[in-house]
Amino acid sequence: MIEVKNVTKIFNNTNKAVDNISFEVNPGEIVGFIGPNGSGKTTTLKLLTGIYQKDEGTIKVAGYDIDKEPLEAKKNIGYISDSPDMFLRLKGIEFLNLIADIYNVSTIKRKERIKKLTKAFGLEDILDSEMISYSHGMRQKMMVIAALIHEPDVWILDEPLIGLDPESAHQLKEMMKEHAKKGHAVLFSTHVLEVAEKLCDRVLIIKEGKIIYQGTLKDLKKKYTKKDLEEIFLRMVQDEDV
Amino acid sequence: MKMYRNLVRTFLLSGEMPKSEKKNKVKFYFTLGLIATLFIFIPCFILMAFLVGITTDGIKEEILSNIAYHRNIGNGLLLVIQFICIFSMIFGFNIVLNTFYFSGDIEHILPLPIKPKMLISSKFMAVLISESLMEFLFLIAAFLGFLLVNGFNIWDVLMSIIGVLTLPILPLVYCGIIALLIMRFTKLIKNRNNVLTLVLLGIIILIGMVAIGYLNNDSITEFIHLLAAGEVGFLNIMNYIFPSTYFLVEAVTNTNIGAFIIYLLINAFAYIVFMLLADKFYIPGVKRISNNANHNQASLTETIKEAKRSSFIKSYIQKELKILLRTPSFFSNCILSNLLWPIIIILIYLIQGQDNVIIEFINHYKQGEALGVLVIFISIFVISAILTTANSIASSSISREGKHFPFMKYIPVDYKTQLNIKALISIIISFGFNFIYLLIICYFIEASFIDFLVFTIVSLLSSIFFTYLGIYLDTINPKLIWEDELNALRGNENTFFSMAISMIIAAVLGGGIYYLNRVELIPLSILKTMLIIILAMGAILIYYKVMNKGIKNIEEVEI
Repeated sequence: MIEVKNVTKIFNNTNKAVDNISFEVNPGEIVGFIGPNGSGKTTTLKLLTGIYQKDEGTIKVAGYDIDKEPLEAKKNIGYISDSPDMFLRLKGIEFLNLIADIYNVSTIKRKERIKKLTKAFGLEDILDSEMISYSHGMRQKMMVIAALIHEPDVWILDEPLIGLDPESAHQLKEMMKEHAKKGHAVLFSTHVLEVAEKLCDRVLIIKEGKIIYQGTLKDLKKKYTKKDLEEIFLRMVQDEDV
Repeated sequence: MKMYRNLVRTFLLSGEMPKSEKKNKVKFYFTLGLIATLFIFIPCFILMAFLVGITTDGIKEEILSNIAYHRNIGNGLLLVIQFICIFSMIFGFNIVLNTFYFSGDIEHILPLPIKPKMLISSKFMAVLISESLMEFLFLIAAFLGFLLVNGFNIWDVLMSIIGVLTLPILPLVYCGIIALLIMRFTKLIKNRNNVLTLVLLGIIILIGMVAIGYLNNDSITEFIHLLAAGEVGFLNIMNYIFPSTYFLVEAVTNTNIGAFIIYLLINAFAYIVFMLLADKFYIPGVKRISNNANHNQASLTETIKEAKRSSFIKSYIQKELKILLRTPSFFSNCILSNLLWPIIIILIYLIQGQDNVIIEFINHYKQGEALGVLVIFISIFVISAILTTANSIASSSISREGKHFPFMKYIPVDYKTQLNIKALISIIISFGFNFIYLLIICYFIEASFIDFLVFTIVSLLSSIFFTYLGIYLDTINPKLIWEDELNALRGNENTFFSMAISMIIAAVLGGGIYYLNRVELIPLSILKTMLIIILAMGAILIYYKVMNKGIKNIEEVEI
């Protein structure tokens, strides 16, 4: 569902934010993207969604090349960005309607999904308010609902759990599992190793723009026995022998 | 002191537009800056100095003829600086209110161990520096014009320099005090969306009414005579509102050090009062905003009725319009500013009294005289051009996206459609206002239907042309990093250059038409057709530029 081959992104002709990375996210998979701050996670996710232009390599989402058929690729993506402060002067319902219109969601389906998702995240009573009055967590939930309203095949989520209360975080994790079960793909970035451990079929560990590990956390643990996950991760990103 | 300096520097930097790192873009902006300096700043500077100079000269003549008292020699200068103070208040209020209460830095700075006095004084200084740069230019020109005619010594020059630097204090102190009181005591903050616009509208109408009421007179000669006699009601009222201006002019006119000290004391007193009030009211006012996160509680069954499918284009247009109308800074700068035009035109109309050039041209037009028709035609074109760029809807269309600019990139909608929708919004609003003014003008001049049609076409084409020009400029280096919405427009070079270019194009085309008609004797009907063709071709060219290079620019922007 997501194919990334030899992708490089250079900022200002000097700073290699993403350095020749390749990976795949297959149907039915939840893949966690882990790495320290500034390692290239958000840049990679922005390359996948067409926000950034890559310098080298190819990216395919749902079978569509992001350069050659960008609109088709984007139609299949549900993206949550790292900032939930979007169109704060719009009311919640207006924002969801805008997104549903962009993705051409029918009236019946959007009503059904808005009901389902707002109830799941406890936002059903405030949809008539401008989003500027929402708390950070509410805005984040709104971004989640907006990203899922068109039921995209591929979910690309940048730190989706940040700002969510435990109940909503649980809801979202369950949704991710359900989505993968249906044969779709989820790629999300996180700092929380426990989340990755519980949720992900595989993880990608990125450091200084390079993917230094891809596989299951189980395999990683097997490989480095007698170490807990945090320790393995810290050692890996600190470039030490584990 | 160090903390104060750092805070001022931080607030100043947060309003600045990040410079492009690409060499060709730097060169492009440098060229635009040079053009603006040569064709806008320098002519404005000379014009201001000239206006004050001839007014002072007129007053001087009356004094020499023993018709007027010498104490009134500075009334021309006084009138100009009082107007500058009024405009400083009109434009400064919005900025003061935003910087003090609605800027994004507040929630980060408030928890820090900084005294409210320090915080508010550094914010005040940042506003004073950033907002007074343009004002300094006009003030320097006004003082220069006055001193050159009236004569000067080293003390006059010194007092003028200090005066130029300190004159904006009093108007901004007034803005600050009004903001403090509104935010602390009124319930306007309950409807935060309207507070800025309501107050701004009130100030504009009030000032407009006062100015119109007191500037009405018979002729320019008569006006100078009244100035020389010290009988302009407007001046007398403004002397009470801005007492510092009177003492400064007195100081510079008669090398009166005592008056200058009073001038400085007035400013110091005003600032101290402001600081005392700020110390008491600022933090409670800020807290009232943060406590104001009320939600409209509505049941899902009710709200969900709004969830109806409609075309993407309609939905995107609604989004753009709602954001423009609901965001106070955007509303006041992009929508409300269009309402300033009638006030400006009425002011120009009334200030001229019996020697009214506007009435003269209207009469020429009504009698079918070529000059009248020519001038009205050029005026309509120039107003349409400048109104379209002055409201900055087009030239800030990308900048206004700010942090959610990536939205434009990851949605499955091509840039062409998105940019055309943004253009459509600018054209609808700019041409909408232009058309209303056109109807009023045509009613007063009793224009024929054909002329009305030609004016409408010219107005529409210039709205289209300058809209796409504005959008193109904003694609080159949009100002996407801003703390609060006002900063998307304030200090945005694209909006400034868009207006500067429109003024230059309007001047070149308007002047060209005038020259070709009056000197080369080319019939106006041919020139009208030529202008329509030029604007239509220009619009097509700039449209293609936006759709090709503009889209490439957007693709290259990465935040």
